[in-house]
Amino acid sequence: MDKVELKLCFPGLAGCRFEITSARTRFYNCIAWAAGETHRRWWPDKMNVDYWPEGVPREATLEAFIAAYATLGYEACDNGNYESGFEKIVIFTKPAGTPTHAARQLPGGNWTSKLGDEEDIEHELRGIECLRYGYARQFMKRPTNPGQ
Amino acid sequence: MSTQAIPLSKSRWRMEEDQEVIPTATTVSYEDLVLFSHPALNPAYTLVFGVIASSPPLEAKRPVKYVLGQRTSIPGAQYSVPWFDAGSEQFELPATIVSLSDWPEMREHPERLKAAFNLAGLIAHFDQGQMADWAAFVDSFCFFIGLHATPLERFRELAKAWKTDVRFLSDTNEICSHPAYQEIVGMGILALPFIFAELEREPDNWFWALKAITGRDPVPENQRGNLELMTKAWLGWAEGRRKQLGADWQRVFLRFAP
Repeated sequence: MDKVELKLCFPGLAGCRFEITSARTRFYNCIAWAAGETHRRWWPDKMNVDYWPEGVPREATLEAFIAAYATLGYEACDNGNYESGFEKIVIFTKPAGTPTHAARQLPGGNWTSKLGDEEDIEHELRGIECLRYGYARQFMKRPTNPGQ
Repeated sequence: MSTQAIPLSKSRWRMEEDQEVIPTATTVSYEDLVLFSHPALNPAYTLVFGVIASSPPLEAKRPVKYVLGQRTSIPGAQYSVPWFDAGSEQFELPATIVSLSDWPEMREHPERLKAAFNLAGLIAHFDQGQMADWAAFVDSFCFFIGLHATPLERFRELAKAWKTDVRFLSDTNEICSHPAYQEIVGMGILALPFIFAELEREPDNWFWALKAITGRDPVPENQRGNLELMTKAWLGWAEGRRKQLGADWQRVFLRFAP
């Protein structure tokens, strides 16, 4: 999929800079990508097909997603402003609160997202807010080097 | 051959007293008839149970379908073969049609006769319950064909619509609740060969459907979400089932071999 098609599917990208940064693949999804994994898909699906961290409720709620990322050391925070020494992620939800997507902040403040079965892109945060993904709802962060 | 008029609506017919025969196959192809009924090839079909003939005055009396019956044969014995007079409205038999000659595109397939022969051989040994299961399966298949294109064509249509609509989604619940995906699940076992072929070609989210259709899950807990390993696990499971099925068939044939 090229940038023109992506702009058609995500109208918010038309007004901001973004780059396609990978080939398309189904081997991981956005939740896994935000968690830093590329070998499996994360989702608390009802049929127990995808990976979901042990001990976290297997339900598609914002609370469960926050708990899932907490297993990686992330804690809820207020905003997506870039903070040196921290990695941030953001969980997107639909207005009713159902999680749809997650993105990870890159050094410098831009964000990286895996778009379903399609490519990864580097983008500005609001660029992918849309009816399909809803909006950036919950930010989380963890120290870049927790040992220091 | 003697000629008799026997009601065709009965699922079990009697040729003579105490000689109940279960009609398990019909064919319109004389080639099939010879193969199925040759004692050296298939002892279960040494008996041509009957010939369905068209009725005058619509057209001259001629064989329309041959009915093959499941009955133990006596080598060398001669059996009379009744002719059933039937109008065109009566050609639908209560027997399971295993002849692939009714499936024109399969006529030239190199595996056609082998497949038909194997199928006929297996069905020949079905008991009443198995026969009812088989009849239900054939009935379902015919029902499906009546509603849609062939299962393969329908699967391709649905899979294409599904992949297009969900390509930006990560939510597996939503991906697998898509109406096209649900319709594929609804195809049941008819969809399984196509799902496995699709998995071999391009791993994708077929695992919900596979679990729903088969009631099985060969994927170990530590491989959840790993498309590559899950695909491998399911294809391995399918291969195991095929081998088991092959062994089952072989066992049946060996059991009844002359």
